[in-house]
Amino acid sequence: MNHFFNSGSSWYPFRWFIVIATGLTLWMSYTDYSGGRVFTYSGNQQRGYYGGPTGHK
Amino acid sequence: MGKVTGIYQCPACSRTVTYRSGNTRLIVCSCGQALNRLESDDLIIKSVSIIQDHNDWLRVGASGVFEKRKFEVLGRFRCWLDESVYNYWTIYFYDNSLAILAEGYGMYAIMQRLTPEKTLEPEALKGLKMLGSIPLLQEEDCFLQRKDSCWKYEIEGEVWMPECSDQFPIFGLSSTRGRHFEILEFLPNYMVVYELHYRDYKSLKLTGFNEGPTTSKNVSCPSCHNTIVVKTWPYAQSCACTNCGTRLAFKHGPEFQSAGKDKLNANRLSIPLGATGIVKDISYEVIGYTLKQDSTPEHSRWSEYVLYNRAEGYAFLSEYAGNWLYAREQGNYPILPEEDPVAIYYKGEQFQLYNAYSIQVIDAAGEFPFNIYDDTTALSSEFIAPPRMWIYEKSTAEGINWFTAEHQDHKQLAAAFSAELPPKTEMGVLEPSGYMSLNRLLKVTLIAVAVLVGIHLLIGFGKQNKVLLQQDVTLKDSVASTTFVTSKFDLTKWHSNLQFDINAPVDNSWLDMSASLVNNSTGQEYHVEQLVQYYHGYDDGESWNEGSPTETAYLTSIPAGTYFLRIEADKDTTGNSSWNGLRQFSLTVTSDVPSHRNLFIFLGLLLLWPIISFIRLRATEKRRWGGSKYSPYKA
Repeated sequence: MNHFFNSGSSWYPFRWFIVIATGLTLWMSYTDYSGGRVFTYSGNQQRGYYGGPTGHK
Repeated sequence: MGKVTGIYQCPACSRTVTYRSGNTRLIVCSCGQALNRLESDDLIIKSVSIIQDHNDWLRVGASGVFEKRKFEVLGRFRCWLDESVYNYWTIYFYDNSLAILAEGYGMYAIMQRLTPEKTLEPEALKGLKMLGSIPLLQEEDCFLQRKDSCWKYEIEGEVWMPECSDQFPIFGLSSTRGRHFEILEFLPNYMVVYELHYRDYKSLKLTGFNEGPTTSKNVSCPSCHNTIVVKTWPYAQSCACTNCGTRLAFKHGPEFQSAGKDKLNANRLSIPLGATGIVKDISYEVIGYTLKQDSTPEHSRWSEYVLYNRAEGYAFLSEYAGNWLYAREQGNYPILPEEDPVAIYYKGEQFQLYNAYSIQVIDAAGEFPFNIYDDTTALSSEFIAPPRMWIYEKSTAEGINWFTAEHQDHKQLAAAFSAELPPKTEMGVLEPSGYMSLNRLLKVTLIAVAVLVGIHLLIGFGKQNKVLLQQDVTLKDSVASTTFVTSKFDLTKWHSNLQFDINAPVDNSWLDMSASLVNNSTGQEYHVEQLVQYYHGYDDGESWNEGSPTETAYLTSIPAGTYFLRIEADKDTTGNSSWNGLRQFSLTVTSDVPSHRNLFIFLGLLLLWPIISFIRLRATEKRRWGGSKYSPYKA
C-alpha cells in the first residue's frame, strides 16, 4: 500500500507533519467547539461552589 | 482459400502450415523454411534468417493482457541494430486484431499501427537532426529521439511485417505530451508509423514463458585465449576479458572484435560476477563490472555493476563513495523543454540538473548491453529529486537513452548479495535522509493551513453569539464597591464560553470587575476578574499613556445549564483620582463566541515543523550539492 508511511511514497518525508497537523486540527476543533481557549495561564478563571451572596463556600 | 481457413501447404516440404491471422505475412514452417504469403494468396519460399537461439523469456505461444484485452504471441522479427538487438513480437488479440510487442533490455511496449494526422515526408524525416521536430500530429510537435539502423533481421513463428528490405532504418520520436512513436522504413520511402505504449513487465501479466535453460556464447579472448562466457547473448553486445583486460565489441558481427584494452585491469569488484541477489523484488545476477571516470575537472571515478534478470532485463548498480544507486532504462521519460535544460519535469515533479559529463571506461569485466566502449563522445546529464534521478545519455549519432536511478540502502544491498561493500565516506547524491521537495513542503504547509483555517471558520459560523447582558452599570458615589445579580439564563450548548466586554471611562484610575457565573442547579461557580485601568501624563517633555479603558475577559468551556451572574465592581478611591470621578461603566456579556486567538496559536504551532524543516533542508541540500557546479546554493 503506497500510503505516506511507506518509504516509497513521495509523501513519506512529510509523514510526521501530516500526523502533527491532524493532531493540531483535532485539538483546535475540540477547543473551538467546546468554547475553550488554549494556553490561558492567567488563572483568572476560577472554579468553586457558590455560598450565597456573602461569599464562597 | 487459405485466406479463409488460414491453412496452406508448405511449398518446400508439403506439410500443412496454418496462419492464425488473416493479416500476417511471414511464417516459419516446421521444416525450418520461411514462407511468404502474397497478396494473391500464394505461399512462396522467403529467403530470410530464422532465429536459432531460444534464450528469451518470452516465446511463441505466451499470452498476456494489454488494456484488459488478452493476447497471444504468434511470432517475432528480431532486429539487429548497431549496438543492440530488439524483438518485435507479433501479438494476436482475441478480437482478431494485431499489434507488436516491442521488447528488449527490460523494456516492453505495445506498438499499434497509426495513420499520421499529417502527411509524413520520408526525406524530411531522414534529414532530421536529433531532437529536430517533424509534423506528425495536428496539435503536438514530435521530436526525433533516436535513429537506428537495422542491419539484419531474423524471424520466428507467424510474423506481422510488411515486405521489407534486408536492412532498414528505425526512427524513434516523442511528442510534447509524452506520446512515443516508432517509424520503420521497411522499404525505401515506405514508412510505417506505430505508437508505442510502454508498460512494465508485471502489468502485461505475461504467462507461458520459456523456462528452459539458456545457451551462452563462448568468446575466445584474442590476446590471452581465455574463454569469456557471454550469458546474455545476443543482447550483450560488448564484453571484457577478466584475465587480461582485452575489450571486445560485436560491431555487426559475425564475431566479437577487439576494442582495445583496459587502462587499469584491477577488477576491484565489491560484488563478484555471478553473484545473485534481490533488488526491488527482482532476482538479479551480476554479469558485468566497469570502473568509469567522468570528464569533469575532478575526474571522479565510480563503479558500475550490470545486473540481469531474464524477464526484467538489465539494470545497473552504481557505487560512489560508498553510496549506491539502482538504475534502469526507461521508455517513458520526461520531454526536454530545451536542448540543455537545467531542470526537467516528470509527472509534476521537478528534477534539477546535478551533473553533466562524458564517460570513459577505465576497467571492465564481464558482459554489457550495448557497446560501452564507444560512448566517449556521448554526454550524460543527471537530474535529481532525491531519492530519484533521471539520467539521459545523448549521442549525436544514436540519440537519447533515458534511465532512472534511485538510492539503494548500503546495508540492504550488502545483505542481498552477501557481499562486503565499501564504507560510506560522504553524503550520497540521492541520499533520501533529510530530503524533501521544497515545492511539496510549501504545498503541504498551505494545505494544512487551509484546513486549519477552514475548520476554525466552519465552527465559528455555528456559534450562537448570544448577548446575555448589555448594561450600563451605575457606580455608587458613596462606596467603592458595587454588586448586582443578573436574572437567570440558559446555556444550551454542550459546552460554551462567555465573553465580558467592559468599557469604563477610567482616567488615571482603575476599575476592577469580578464576575461569578453560578449554576442555579448545582451551585458550581465560575469566577473571572478583570482590571480596567488607564493612566497618562507628561514627563520630561514627553507624553505617555498606559492601559486601556476597554478590556475583555472570558469564562471558557462552561457546561450547559441554567446560570446567573453575580457582578462586583470596585473602583479606584485613592491617589489623584476623584472619589466621584467614575460613575458608571458599560458591560456586555455574550455567550458562545468564536476565539480567533485559538486559530493564531494553532497556526503558530503548525508552522513550527515546516520552518524547522526548511532550515534543516537548506543545510542538508548545501552538503548534497557541494560536489555540483550546478548547485543552486553557490553564490
